[in-house]
Amino acid sequence: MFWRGYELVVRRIVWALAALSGLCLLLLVAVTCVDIVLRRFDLAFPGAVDLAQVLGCLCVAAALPYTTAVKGHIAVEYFFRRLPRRWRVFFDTCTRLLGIALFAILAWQSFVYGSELKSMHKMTMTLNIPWFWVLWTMGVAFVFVILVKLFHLTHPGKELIRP
Amino acid sequence: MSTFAIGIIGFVLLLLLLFLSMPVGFVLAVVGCAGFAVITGSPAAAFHLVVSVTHDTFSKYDYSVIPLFIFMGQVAFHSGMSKRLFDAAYRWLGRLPGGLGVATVGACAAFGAICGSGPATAATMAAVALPEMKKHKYSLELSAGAVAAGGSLGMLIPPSVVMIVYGFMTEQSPAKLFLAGVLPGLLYVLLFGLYIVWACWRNPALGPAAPVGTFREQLRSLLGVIDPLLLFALVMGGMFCGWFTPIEAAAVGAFGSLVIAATRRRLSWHILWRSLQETVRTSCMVLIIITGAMIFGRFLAVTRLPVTLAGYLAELPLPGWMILAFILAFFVLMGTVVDALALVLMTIPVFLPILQTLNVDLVWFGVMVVTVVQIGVISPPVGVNVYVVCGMMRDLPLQTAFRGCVPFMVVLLLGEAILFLVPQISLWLPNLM
Amino acid sequence: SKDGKKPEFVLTYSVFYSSTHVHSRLAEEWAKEINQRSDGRIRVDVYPGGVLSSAQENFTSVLNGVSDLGMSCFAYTRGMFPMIEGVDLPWGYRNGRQATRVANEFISKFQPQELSEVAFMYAHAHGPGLLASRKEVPGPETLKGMTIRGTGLSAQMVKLLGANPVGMSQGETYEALRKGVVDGTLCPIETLEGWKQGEVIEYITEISAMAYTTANFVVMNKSTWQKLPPELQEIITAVNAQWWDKHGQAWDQADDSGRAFVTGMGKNFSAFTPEQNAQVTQALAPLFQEWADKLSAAGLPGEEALAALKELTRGDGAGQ
Ligand code: NA
Ligand code: NA
Repeated sequence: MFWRGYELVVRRIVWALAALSGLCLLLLVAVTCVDIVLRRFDLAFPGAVDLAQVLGCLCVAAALPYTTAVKGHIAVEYFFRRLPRRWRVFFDTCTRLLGIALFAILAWQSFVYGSELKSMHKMTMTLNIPWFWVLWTMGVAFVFVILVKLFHLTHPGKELIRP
Repeated sequence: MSTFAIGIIGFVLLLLLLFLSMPVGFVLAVVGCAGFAVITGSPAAAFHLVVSVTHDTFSKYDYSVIPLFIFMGQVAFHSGMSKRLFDAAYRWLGRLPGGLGVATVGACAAFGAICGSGPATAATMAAVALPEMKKHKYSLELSAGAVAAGGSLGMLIPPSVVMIVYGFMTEQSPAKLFLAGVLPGLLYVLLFGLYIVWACWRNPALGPAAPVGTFREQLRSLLGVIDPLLLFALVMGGMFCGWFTPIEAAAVGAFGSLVIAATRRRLSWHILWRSLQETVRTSCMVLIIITGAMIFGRFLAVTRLPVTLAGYLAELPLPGWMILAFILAFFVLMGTVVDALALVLMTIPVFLPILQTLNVDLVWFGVMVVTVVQIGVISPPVGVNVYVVCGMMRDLPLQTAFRGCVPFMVVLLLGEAILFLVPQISLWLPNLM
Repeated sequence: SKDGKKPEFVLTYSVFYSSTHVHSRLAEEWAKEINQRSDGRIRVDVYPGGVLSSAQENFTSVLNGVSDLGMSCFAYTRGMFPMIEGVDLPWGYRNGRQATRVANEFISKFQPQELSEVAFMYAHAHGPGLLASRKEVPGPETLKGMTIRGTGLSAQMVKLLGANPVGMSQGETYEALRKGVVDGTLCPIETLEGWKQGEVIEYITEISAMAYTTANFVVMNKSTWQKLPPELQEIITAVNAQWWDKHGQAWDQADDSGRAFVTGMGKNFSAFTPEQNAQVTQALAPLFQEWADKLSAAGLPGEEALAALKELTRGDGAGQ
């Protein structure tokens, strides 16, 4: 019962983040093309690079839970497949826990680093867009990667979102 | 424990975790982070390193071409543009054993002329060419090898990111380096093509020749070439006329493919959403691997392993050409685990004095370096192009793709030997300047 | 060390300049000097080319102990150095030694808050930024409508002069100039050789009213610094005091070499007349007051900093 609700809620948010990622990509296309066109009409639009950096970062980060949910990360399966089933389950759990640890560090550090950048007022080069919230958004995405991985850990052989 | 030993242990751990089927990008990041913590004695620093590199990589302006070009490839695929292109290629080259493979390599080279990054070239071409080759019953191995190796041409054929970095470090003119890459790039297209035809002629199951229909049908299929040509002309022409930079070209390409799909009434919300979904998934996968490779690279840097090894090499009491050969072999070896750009950044400075003593033409050597790191991006265990190709095609196991790359690595080595023995191939064009 | 003694302190030093660059070499010499003067008690391993932290990450990496020391530009992390930003403004710098001296004296006079979390070693700054372009720029009015590469401060200046700033990396600039995506770029003349951009421009315009700089920092992690015994700290401080002027001189030599490089290729030099410079000064005037106002709004001594820099930038680099 718990996992059903968990699955539904997490899946919905993962989809929402994927949509956000796609939106950032479309904006990236739009910003660059508008910049190119405006330049031909001598209309300055400084800071397209800044927007590309922020949008690119958000695009990749927001896609991460989705990519994880469809098990879209590449792995070497050749040797693993040849192990006996019990060993496979054991090692699979180990590597998944390791992955969760990695993303726990990433999530935690994203908030810490984001706060550090906030107190130091770090901004993009030209448009002066603050960076901290991008780090915090990354942190949120990493938290959802962990939630997706927890689902995978407890449901071997099943994807949270079918590709 | 010496940092050298820690480096070796890190490397063993890397292989172990890879074989246990942990995602490649995560393995690189985990081992890099742990190794960095051990060497610096500060877990806090290593934790910061991980998020710092991740943020830096995700927001690097130069990497924005990756999602943009992948998006262009996805729109071309879902709107049927690539299908029509490859139908035409099949109508004209279908009788040739491995004809579509040859067409793929040619398309990779053409795309390499608008894209400066190896992985972006591989990802885009994988989206376009792999499904078509599969449909025409080409072996997965050969298809994957052709796309991964063909994609590496993006680094050699101008524009090229690696060339720019190499040029800055060795104080060589980027324009000369770019020109130097043209003929070797064409040489590789020829060699790859010859290999594919030969392999398919020996074993027709790899890329079967087939009847191609009437001449009328052949002519009609040419209509399918128009759209891709338009797109190519838009991007190439715009760069040539100075309307936009190579990085901006990626956005123009993506926009152009949307416009073409829309005017052909092939663009629906469904297609747009499918393309976006595939794009963000693949870009994320690629960037996670690049991020992992960067973190692992930072760890390798503090072990001083690459620099130490390069230093030993530079002091070998051997004749000049042999030292050069050893240096290139070293690049092949390190290229199996280190990201191409990081490798150039770390080791070129060590080799530079000896190259200058040996009076080596640095433009020629640049071509040699790029062609050896090309081997690196398709060689196991860390071969970014192969990961990219596999990520695009879910039923393609990584080991199959790597197996498919082996003959192409041999061809690359052969080409390397030719370019080593006949420097004029690289130097003729730049010396005309 | 040479006599086989094991160093007590091994420090890592991340430099974003590539290893062939003169400032990386100076960093290596700095490391060697400290090793010698400390009798081998300190060893500093230099990691050039940004392999340990990128130019943007450099400062926060030192802060968090990823590397013990770091060298990069203040301007790459905009917003983090509100006071020192002022050094980069177009004060009409004449050479790298002068800009370097101004940067160091300004920082030592104000001890800005923004450096309080690290141990500051020294600063250095490049010689006058100028305009390199594909077409001739006889006066300020020609700038209107031109497309010029610029990020951060240079983008602001480009905009104030009525031109279109386009952002891109230094690596991309060569191709952009060659193909005409941009008509020109703002940089110290050294860059025209280092990045080979001299090959793809035709005109170099010296605009003294626009002669800006980009200040670089060398900083050490604070807890690393505090771990060092006082006598070693003194050695480092002494070496620092000697070293910053070497960087200033190196910038000037690099500029000389860059000038020779473009002269050798037959590129055209020109300079704005005093009247034209006065026009530029007027156009760029808001930069200075905006900076001071922003500082004052943040509770920092904006007007004093403005006055101090005005005073400091008057002298030239020679004969300290
Ligand atoms: Na290319
Ligand atoms: Na490899």
